[in-house]
Amino acid sequence: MKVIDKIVHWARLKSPWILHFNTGACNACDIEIIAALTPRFDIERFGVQLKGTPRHADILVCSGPVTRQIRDRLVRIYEQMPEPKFVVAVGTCATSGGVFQGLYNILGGIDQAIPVNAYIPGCPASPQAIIDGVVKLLKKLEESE
Amino acid sequence: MSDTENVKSKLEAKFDFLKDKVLLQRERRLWAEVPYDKFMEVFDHAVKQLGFAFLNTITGLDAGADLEYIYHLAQAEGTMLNLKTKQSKDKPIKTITGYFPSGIIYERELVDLLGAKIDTLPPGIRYPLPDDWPDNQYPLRKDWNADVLDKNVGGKMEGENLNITVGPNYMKEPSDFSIAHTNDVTIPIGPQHPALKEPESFSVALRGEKIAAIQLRLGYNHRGIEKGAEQRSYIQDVYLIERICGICSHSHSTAYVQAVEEIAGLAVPKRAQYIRTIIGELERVHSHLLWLGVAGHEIGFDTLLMYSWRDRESVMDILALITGNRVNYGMNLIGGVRRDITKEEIDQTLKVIDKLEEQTKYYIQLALEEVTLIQRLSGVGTLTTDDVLRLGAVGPTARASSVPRDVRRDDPYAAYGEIPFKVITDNHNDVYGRTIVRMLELMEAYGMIRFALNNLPDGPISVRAPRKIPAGEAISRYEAPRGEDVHYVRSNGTENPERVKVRAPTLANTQAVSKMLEDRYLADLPIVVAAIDPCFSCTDRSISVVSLDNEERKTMTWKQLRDYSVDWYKKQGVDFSKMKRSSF
Repeated sequence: MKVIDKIVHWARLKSPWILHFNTGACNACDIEIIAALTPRFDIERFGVQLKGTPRHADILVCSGPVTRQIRDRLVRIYEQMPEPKFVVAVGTCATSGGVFQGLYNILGGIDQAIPVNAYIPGCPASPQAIIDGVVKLLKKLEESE
Repeated sequence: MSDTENVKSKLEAKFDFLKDKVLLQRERRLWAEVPYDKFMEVFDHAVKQLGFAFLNTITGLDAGADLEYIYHLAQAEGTMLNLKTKQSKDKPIKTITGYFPSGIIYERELVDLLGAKIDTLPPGIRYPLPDDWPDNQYPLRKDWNADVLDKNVGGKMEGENLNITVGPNYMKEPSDFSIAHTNDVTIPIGPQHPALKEPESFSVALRGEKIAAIQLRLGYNHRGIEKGAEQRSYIQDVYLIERICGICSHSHSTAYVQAVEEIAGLAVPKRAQYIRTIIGELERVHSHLLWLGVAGHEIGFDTLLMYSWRDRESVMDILALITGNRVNYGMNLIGGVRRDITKEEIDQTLKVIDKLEEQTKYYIQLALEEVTLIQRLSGVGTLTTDDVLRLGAVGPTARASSVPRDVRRDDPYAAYGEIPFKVITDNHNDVYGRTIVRMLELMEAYGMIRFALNNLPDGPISVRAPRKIPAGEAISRYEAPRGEDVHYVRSNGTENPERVKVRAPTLANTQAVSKMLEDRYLADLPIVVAAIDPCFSCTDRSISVVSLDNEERKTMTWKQLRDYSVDWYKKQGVDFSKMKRSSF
């Protein structure tokens, strides 16, 4: 591994930038994701920052079942992210479709559209669970060096 | 004679065929079935003569060979008139957008979900189904089955479509350019955009910096809950419907259970009603604090976001303490509530409410005195009183334009009839006014929670509900933090409802957004959209198109755009056509 790669790897682990995308969720998980960024939980202490565009993001944080209308948009957003990229599915709906399973306009979990690296269950996933999930993902990245 | 009886007798006196046919279900609820050939006449009379100036929603049902339509009209005093009519599936009905411009979205919904044919419905974007939904598939029809759908159906985007639109003058010689038209560009915002927390898509036509027209595509969050509710049992539906929205989950579930309880004739114990009210008001507190933070964020005042969300956490703690979960409380049962409030919980809640009240006073002072905030919010997103009445806005959006529309007072449910409170209104008509209304509503909410906790009646918290609900129908209204939420339920005597119709407050308010943004700066879009406190997961279920003159518009792909620029420069004497992309 070249020195430059090492620096990049270190930087990636220390400041993973996330993009939050609602793929048809009920808003509960989205609010909990924002709550995780605010003072009580403060996920920014791990260097995690919420970004506005997929082109700046390392981790795509999705919430909600994938609706038919959103599917192609989700794929496009995923494709715009630079490599390496990771996807975290937040909430039961994002992992499996949850309570919405079987409804005509949803396809199921996030993995029906794009590959997922970490699943965080819960309805909604609590901020603690979201932090735990993100930290676990970071640990995994560290090992995968 | 009460108001409701008054309306009933007036209707019956005016129309012979309605003699003894107007059903008074309970105070403030009237139902009447009208044959379609007479319908417009009755509708016109109700709207123009009897003061039913607010269209709650339109419910459509599949009734075999016919489609049944129910127009839910309301008076400012709270009386609801539900006009039913039937029309054969292949025959059109007339649009009511002449009376209520806001009705367009409800009519589009009928077209998409039930295959209703509506005469002279203005053209526009479909709502709420995906763009590439197959023709002649109407999900809310009883004989429709989701199996006909290919797994691949779903919002296909057309290739490299940039969606940049230019006016016709753009193609003329430079000397012919009129400034207004050269800048006429359409910018797509969403479905993913830093200013939007939820997927929705705006096409904003700009003239210079100003918005000339706006088109909103909703439906990214459409899941098909109404159909799902028909396939599940009443009890399962409580939990499904709670998940329409994660911010006003209690609002939706309460509205739904109230409708079911009304059909089943269940008398919900007083204590349960008080507990529902307490949770409802706590939810309003958390929602308004959340809104304050989001509004702060949209105008670049992130400190406010962090402050208000910090305080919001204490409400979340209380909600978790009382219900067991931070969001999606699962508190409602058909016939009551799931958990009782203990003495310790009451003490703890009262303590937190006191603290929050102090903090809220600080926010109110901030809103009233902080110059930056006042300057940024004043005069932005103006909506006059007339516009509110015409477009049917609800909740704080309406109340900030001096329209005292509040279901808690007009049509009391749960324990609201017994708890004293003021309906907060403001006459600023803009985003600033909406901020003030929400902040003052917080203070009212604290007072109501305190009153309810101190006067909590003793007794059971639920009654046993039957698994099968007798045939019938009911409509339930609930003042959610964003405005009036309406649920219509019809039962057919089995374990599953025949139809559940939901009209979320944001859907009523989306109509007003276009109006608020007309001729405003693009930079105001985030805060104006945020100011209605939109919740598109509730809503999803497109909106009227504000037409931009009669210009010819065209949509260009990346390639066309490049070719066009090459041509344009050729005319200027520069030839870029031989240049390779990589050499740029």
